[in-house]
Amino acid sequence: MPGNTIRAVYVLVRKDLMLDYRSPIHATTQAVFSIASGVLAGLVQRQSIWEPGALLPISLAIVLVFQGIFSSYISFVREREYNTIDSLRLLPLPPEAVYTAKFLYTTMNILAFTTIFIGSLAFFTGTWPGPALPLLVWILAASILVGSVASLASAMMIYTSSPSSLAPMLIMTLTLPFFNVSSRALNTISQGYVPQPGWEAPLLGYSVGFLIVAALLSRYLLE
Amino acid sequence: MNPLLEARGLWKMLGGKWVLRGISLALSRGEVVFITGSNGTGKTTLLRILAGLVRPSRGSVAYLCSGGKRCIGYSGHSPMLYDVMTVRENILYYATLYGVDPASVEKNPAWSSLGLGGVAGRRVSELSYGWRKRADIMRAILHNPEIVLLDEPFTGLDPHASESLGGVIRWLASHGSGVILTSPRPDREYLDLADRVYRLVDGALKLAG
Repeated sequence: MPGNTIRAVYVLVRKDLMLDYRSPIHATTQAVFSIASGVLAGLVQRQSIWEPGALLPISLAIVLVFQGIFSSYISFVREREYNTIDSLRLLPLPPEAVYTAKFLYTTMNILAFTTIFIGSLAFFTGTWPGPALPLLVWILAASILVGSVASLASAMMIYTSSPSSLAPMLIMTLTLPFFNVSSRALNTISQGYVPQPGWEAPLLGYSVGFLIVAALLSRYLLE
Repeated sequence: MNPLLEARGLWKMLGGKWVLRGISLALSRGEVVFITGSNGTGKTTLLRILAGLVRPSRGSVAYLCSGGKRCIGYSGHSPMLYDVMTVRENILYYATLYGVDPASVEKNPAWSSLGLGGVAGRRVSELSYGWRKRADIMRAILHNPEIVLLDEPFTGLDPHASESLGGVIRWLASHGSGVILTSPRPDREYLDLADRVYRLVDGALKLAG
């Protein structure tokens, strides 16, 4: 990516950050959802007969999917609400750069609010759910995938008259293989162990691979 | 003549109805073209096709300017600005994305002609439609585009602002830009500026002056 394009991506991400800072309704909703999910998962965990950490994989998957759905509404959909989507399409930038900017902001959002969920869960259960580094790597890989799907779904939503079902459907469908493949590693982490070396490579590969495909597809949606 | 844009045989179907029927149009440097026509005749659709925002069902648009998308400046019905950002923040945001030196924006003659200095620090959400329209026109032309496409640019402007905008459009044309204006009302502001006037009737352009 040439220097000017990288700078443009930075400017687009900074603008999204400013919009959320000035009008924090979406960010507040996402934060409340993450904290409430942590409280709920923590309460169920404390009162259940399951092993500690048993609820982590399912609750983490649910939180990630919901954060992806929330984030799809602050991506291209918000540009349509501001009537600025055409100005993005007219920019002298490759559509992939615009998509990359949206992906970066969406992924940062999902990563931040999923981390808040983990903090909330840890606070209400009184224990940290698994070794920190592998858990954060797992969340990073999942956030990259959910962020790229959510951004792609958001770009598709600007062309449909009934967008509300598109994001949940796409995010659920396209992240299922990831959750299936990564469940063993996450179970190991939730039981307090570090997975076998190299466990993270296929997950990051899947996420980054989907990101590249989604960026290429964005040309057809944004040009 | 030095053409900037050539549209050939544009057809567009919307909702099962042909809105545009084989429109051909050329725009040259320094020329102002005005397209009028009743509501719903396809003026906005035509302008959006010329801007590259909508694909025609048939036909093609050739851009003979340099710089790809950078040579187009488009302002539609609704201002393309972020409500929660100030006018200055919006304009500097777009300036950066178009590779325009932010320090030069407020020195652009259009900035002062449109009177934006007085509202630069105000959020777009606090402004009237007329001020938003002025800021949006500034957004559309801040990178000195060769092709300027303005949809109803005088709508919502007071007489003084209309006169100023007329001056800006003349200035753009005198510096080599080609300008296309559309409006359902063939008002004097448009007719005074236009080198050619077209009427869009039944999906076809008819030269009216």
